[in-house]
Amino acid sequence: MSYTYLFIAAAIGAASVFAILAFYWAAKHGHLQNVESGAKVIFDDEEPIGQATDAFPGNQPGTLTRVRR
Amino acid sequence: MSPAVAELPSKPSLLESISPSSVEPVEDKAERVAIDRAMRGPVLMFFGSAIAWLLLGSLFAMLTSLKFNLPSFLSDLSWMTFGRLRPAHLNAVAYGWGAQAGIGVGLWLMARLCRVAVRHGGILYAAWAIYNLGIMLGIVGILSGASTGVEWLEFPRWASVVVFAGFALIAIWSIIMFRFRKPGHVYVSQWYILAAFFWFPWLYATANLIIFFLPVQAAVQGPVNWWYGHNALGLFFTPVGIAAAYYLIPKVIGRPVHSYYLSILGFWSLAFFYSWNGMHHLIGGPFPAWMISASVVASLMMIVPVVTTGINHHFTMKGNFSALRWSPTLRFTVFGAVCYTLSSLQGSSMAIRSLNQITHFTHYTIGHAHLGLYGFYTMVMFGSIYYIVPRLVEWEWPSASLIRWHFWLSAVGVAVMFAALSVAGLIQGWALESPDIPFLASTNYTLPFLWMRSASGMLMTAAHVAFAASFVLILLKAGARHERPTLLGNPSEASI
Repeated sequence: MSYTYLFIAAAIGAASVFAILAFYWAAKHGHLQNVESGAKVIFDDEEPIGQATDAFPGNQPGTLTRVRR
Repeated sequence: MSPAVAELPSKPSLLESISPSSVEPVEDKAERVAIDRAMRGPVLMFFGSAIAWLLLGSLFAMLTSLKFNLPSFLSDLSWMTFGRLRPAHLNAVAYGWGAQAGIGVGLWLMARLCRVAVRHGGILYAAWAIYNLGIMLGIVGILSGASTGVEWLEFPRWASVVVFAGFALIAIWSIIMFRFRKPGHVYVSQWYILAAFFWFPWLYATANLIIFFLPVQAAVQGPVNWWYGHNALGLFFTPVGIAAAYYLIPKVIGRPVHSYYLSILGFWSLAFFYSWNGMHHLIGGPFPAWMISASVVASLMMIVPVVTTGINHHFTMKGNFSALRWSPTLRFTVFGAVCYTLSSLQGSSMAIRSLNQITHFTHYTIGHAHLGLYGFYTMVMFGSIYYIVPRLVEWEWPSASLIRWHFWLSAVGVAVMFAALSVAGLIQGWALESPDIPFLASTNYTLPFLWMRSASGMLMTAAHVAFAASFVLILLKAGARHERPTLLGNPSEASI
């Protein structure tokens, strides 16, 4: 019985092992460096920082009062 | 590249895409509109079938809820008995609505953030067909009495295999897209989506194998069951919802995430520790103490990713809460983000043994589940769909009133349901703990709150009808087309 419980723990722990491997890969490939600049990759020339991109149909977006660039 | 050209200049074979020797990244800078057009078919199909399952799941929910107060209602029909309707509701809304809405949102986010031409779109059509076949077989199986009786895994074995096959194709497609993404930083939403699309088939296959196909001893099936049930929430629904919020909130208000460091910390702490959750559902059960204690500790450690995410969302929004008035996407998403923080902190507290002793086996747990899966996840999915669909259809939502009705009916509905079930659960728990109160009295105390549950369910069902009507109307391109503000200019001229 105790072996069965250990098997279950191992199956569950496998998720953490995968996470550690993924973390190693991310660190090795530089994804954990200069991370603050990564926040801006979803913006571009067409939809830049400071531009709202959604509003109720037929209406204009309101004024953005606080924009951090 | 012309926006009309959505596929690769020369299509690679599937073998080339999965071959380890094929390492050349696709450098073509695909245009945003081209990506949207390539994803239009599969994403809309997942959204459409998700909404259909949401309506059917809501009907199951209404019938189930009414039976709490009217136990003889439709009880002559075996297909309509509580023991079949309740799991049919859970599976229809979890796997039919929730998972498919998440797949649609995740696929779109993955394609947008990889910023390359879409590869092997045919895989997604096949996945949609196989997955929905599995769900349909599973629901019919449950209603016909073939349920396994294992919570969250009620689908008969022959249906769960089909569900797994469908989802495995989604995971394969996502890995291929990620592998051939445009070089550069991997945005935090991509991490969450890729992980969720890997975690779910792994969890689902592991739990089904250990419980049904190569069953371990009966006593061990309980821990496996709750490890799966809780991890399906935390390692699939939660990351998909957070991924959408981390993309949509900054994108809608045009402001980068407050602290990208915190978002990364939140993801990795979830990845490292969440899988130890689940066994706290078995506090007091005949299981090794270390196993349950490990889950209790892991549940409390979840405060780290929850607080980092909550702080990040709040400070990203700070100064721009007025945007909630004019953005439907933001309204739903921020409501969901707040519920994420509340439901997660509540969940951690429920793993504490002294509180668990009162709330376990009561309606309190059901209230918590609805705050998490509806207040957080479903509301974020609604917000995401309001953002994505106009960009896929290239048409504006036909009615602002329908969206407002949808939001308020959903928000009030889930708030009333959560409050009613929480109070009912606490009263029920204290009554169950008291040796002077008969068991029947502990259930009678909850009856007024169960009427409130049914009433709140009706509000949510009405909200879903409004949502479905909006979705059908936009597919039919009803109403006037507005190029602004949602589409932000002529889509044929937009680029990444």
